Amino acid sequence: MTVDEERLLLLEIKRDLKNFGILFDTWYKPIFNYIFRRVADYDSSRDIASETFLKAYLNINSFTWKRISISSWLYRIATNEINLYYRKAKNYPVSLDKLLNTSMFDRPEPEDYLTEKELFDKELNLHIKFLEVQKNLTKLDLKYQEVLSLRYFEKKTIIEISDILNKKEGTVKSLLSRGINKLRDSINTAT
Amino acid sequence: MKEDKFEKHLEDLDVPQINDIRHQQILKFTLLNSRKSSQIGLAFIVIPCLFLFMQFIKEWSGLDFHFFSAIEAFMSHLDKIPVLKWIFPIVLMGLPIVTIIINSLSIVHFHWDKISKELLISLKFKLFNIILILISIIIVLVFLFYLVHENIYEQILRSLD
Repeated sequence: MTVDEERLLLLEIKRDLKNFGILFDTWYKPIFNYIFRRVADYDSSRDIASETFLKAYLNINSFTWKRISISSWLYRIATNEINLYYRKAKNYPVSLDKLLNTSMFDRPEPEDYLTEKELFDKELNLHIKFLEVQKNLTKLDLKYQEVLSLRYFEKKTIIEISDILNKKEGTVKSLLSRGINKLRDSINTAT
Repeated sequence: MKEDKFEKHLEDLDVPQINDIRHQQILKFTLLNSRKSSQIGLAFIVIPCLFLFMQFIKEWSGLDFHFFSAIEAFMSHLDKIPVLKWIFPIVLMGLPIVTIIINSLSIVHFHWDKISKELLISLKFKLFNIILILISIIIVLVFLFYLVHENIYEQILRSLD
């Protein structure tokens, strides 16, 4: 969706809130995938995604097009919700260990019988290298997690990350550089 | 691993990508209708609330609005017509019950976990829906108390006399 299309959609939504459905259809998948790659847990991702879109739905009328686009705004809400999730001690990334230990490889089942959660877990377990990075990423401070995941999981540019996180481009570059070193050290220590 | 190699490793990282998200449409439906349940609920309890409020004013402060007396007279009149006598019980009790049901359904989520054989019930904290449910429960209880008092208690007293 281009910037002009997003502007037009915003006008349509402000005219009739039912048009929020178009925004939902366009951005649910990328936002859900972003959350899923950050937390690597189906249930939590679903909760965070629903919370993200509920907040967007409730606040869309007060959204004014200043510097960031709707998509960056959605990523910003999702990032804040993920941060909130990680700040809750009970949700600290222990679940990933459990996930790795209960690998689906040993339990081949017909696809018809697999629930969505099982399918998602299966997809996750197909990416061992990603899981290793994701697991170590969650050990870092949230400020590093944000920039690294947006840069390397979502393939966002520095400018886009700067918009989403409301940080200066220089700050993002600096966080990326330090984050990479910390992540590499964490992986090296673990292996 | 060296810094530049590690950065390359991150850039080439194959990440999981979910394309078939089945719960998306369910969530969309719930989200776009989340306000409807509370709006409908509010509309359903306006009349019972007004009725109770005016009754309260009349009983406790002695103020009697002609408008309210006219409604009471109208209700008594409808009560004598067999087909129409159900209108006010439906409006005063039925609609708050419907409000309780639709608002409860919008905030409560049931999930049956086949593996652990557990029914998981989660409650979404939506203040407006919860307030509507509580008000509706109070309305239903007040009218239930009124019905019990009018029909059973009064009959017992009459039979004792």
